[in-house]
Amino acid sequence: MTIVELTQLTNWTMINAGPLENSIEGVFVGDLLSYVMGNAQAKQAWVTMQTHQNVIAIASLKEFSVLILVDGNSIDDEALQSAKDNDIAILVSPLPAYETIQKLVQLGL
Amino acid sequence: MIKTYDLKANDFTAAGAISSDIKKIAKSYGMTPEMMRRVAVSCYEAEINMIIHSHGGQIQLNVDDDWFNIVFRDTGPGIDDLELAMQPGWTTASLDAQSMGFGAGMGLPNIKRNVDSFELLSSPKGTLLRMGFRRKGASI
Repeated sequence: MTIVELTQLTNWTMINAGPLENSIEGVFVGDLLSYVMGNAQAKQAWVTMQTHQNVIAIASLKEFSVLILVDGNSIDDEALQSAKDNDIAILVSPLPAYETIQKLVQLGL
Repeated sequence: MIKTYDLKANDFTAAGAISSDIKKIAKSYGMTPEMMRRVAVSCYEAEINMIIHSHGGQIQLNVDDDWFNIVFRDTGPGIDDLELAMQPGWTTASLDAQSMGFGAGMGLPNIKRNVDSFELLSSPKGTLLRMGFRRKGASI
């Protein structure tokens, strides 16, 4: 599934576009950053509650396909600028984490 | 080639910038994507450790024909117990750092798992962490 397909299927808000045709190969869920750094794989979608600027650095270094923020959370202007600079796609799900992940599972991710 | 970076304590907003630059240099040396990711994970963990725990310091990248070496050298306050620090889950990070998702106690174990050589020395005057990645031949 590509990022643009996921966006169309969920109607979640895309706050930064990034490389829309890149494919999403699995999902990783985590808010402990070292856990994410140590265990997630490139091209996964990363679902997190964290919204500060370091999230963008990690998404870039780990080469995630898309960052999914849950519960309608957004990021501040500096982090958004950093996402633009690093070409990181960001989707905001209005659902809490559990329901967000449920939706991703329903979509076959 | 040798390149040196300065890193300030508590500068969370800059975290990752040096690791990102080192990852780009690794790419320019023809490292595989898998090796670049190992470099990126290890550098980021060490960079964030310096930001959270140290008074600041320097990071030096040194590339020769065989090795891609990175040395993280800070000016203190040092790690009290190196054996404990290497245990997964052990942390001395502040509650503020933990609320940002840092301080899981997995940084040093993550580094050790991703590098080809590892050296950690510490005293109250400072900590030195050296990590090395073989440019050719055997990998972990």
